[in-house]
Amino acid sequence: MSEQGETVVADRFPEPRRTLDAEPFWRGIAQGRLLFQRCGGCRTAVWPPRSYCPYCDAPGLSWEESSGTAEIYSFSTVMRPPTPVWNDKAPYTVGLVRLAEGYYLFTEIDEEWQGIAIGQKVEVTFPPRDVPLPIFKYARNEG
Amino acid sequence: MNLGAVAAIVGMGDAYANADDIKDPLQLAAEATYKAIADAGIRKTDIQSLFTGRSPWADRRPQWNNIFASHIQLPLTLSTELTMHGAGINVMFGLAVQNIAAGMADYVLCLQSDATALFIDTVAVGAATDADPQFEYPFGPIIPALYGQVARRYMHEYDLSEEDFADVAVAQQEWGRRHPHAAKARFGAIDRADVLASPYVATPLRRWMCSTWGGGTAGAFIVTSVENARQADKPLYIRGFGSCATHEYLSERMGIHQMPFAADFGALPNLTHSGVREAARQAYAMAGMTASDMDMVQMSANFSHMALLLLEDLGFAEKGRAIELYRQGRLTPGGDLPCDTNGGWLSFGQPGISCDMDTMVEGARQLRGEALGLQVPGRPKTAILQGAGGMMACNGVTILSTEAA
Ligand SMILES: [Zn+2]
Repeated sequence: MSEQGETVVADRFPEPRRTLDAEPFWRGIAQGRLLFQRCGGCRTAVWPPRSYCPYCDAPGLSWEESSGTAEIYSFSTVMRPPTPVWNDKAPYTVGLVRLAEGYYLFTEIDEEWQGIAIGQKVEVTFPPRDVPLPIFKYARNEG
Repeated sequence: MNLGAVAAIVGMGDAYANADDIKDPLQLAAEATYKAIADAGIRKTDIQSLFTGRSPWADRRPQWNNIFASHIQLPLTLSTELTMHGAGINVMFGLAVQNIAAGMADYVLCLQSDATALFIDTVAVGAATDADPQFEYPFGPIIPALYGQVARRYMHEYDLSEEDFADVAVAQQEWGRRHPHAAKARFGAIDRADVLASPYVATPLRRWMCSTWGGGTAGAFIVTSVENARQADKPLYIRGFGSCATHEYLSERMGIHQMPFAADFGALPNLTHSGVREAARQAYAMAGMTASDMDMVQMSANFSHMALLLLEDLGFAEKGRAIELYRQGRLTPGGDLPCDTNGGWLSFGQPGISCDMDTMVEGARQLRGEALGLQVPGRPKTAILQGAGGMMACNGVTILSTEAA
């Protein structure tokens, strides 16, 4: 595994540097499920995964499955990728989406880049890839 | 806390490298340090403390501060990196004041150097460093795509356009094209059409709206007590300082629902109000000044929209309105609020982590009447210098003045 910021493995897609707090999330991704944490104390949706609620400082965050429906909060289309492994994929769009449960996720928005706009409804998909990730596309009922 | 002017800069040195004159971070740092020591009229052994920002991109050995001190054989009582990303370079001036106020040091060396593009693959390492390696980097962002999230929201919330962002780049280049070490000086004057004709790097940011890396730079400052500064030729008094770190990775910022600071961060979460608001509030309060007392501003605008956002967060305009400062010509040569007079990060470039030090060097040179590029006429007396680091994560603000009170 490459050490962050020191060397970059340029010939394959980067693997997430998993934290122990996030293991349930990654197990969910492997099963095609999008999980997030909710605080048992203040009931706030928590992202990214932690061992204490950042809002009320309670321990004991529990995992729930997200509806996977979201709205585009912001986005940017990458024209010049970070490493050559991405070249065939560019242009591709990365963005922040607000899930229906109220938390924000950084993701890829896999749609034609010229048409993407803030506020569009999107939903999670799990396309087969070298590195499994939750990818968002326009919500089907949006046509 | 109101320390008044406890300490002053009494010596400064800078050094530069480029593809035809390659120097590594140790060489750049040594050159700047020896110039600063000579400028201050002290001996190397008069220095008790060394502060640096985090290790240079081009030489990422941990404890780089100690590596450098040993390199020039500089035994010290205190030495540390201040790793609020690049903002630590701005913040360390306040740390120097505190060190001196506590009576723990007579002379403090504040230092940074880097020469990123001369030594490493900047695009690859940049994204791998500043994106969350778990929840962002696997999606393939580059730094402009992370700041592009901010740009898109800023446009959306305040009804700004690519034309507005272009005008910022044009203004920065007006200064940068007149600076001998500005990375984009060779392109000369540009106009809005030039910016809008340049390709997107990551939407909505086009190449001219993005900083470039540049060669190598170093800056070194000797800070001492106001008493010691009485013998100095052109002391610059540290009248105020402040700092604020809100998050590490950009998407973590979107999980923040409340800020524990006195400054107003707007409705949270958002990507349009930075911790500069709180850092500036502290610095102004300490100095007993407001934005209207500033003769000059030097910032860390790595992208066009960040210049606007930062000017607002420094108190020079209401949120969403800083573009008016550009439209009125106040920030360009001849304007009443000279801004980023070396071209800023957009035109001068970002040689690496030392870009935050280039801001300090430019501010100090202008205040001393020794600009390498275009000198602001009438020699400004008071300047606000702002440094940022990470993905809008860490912020420092320092107010320097030629006057002690
Ligand atoms: Zn809670």
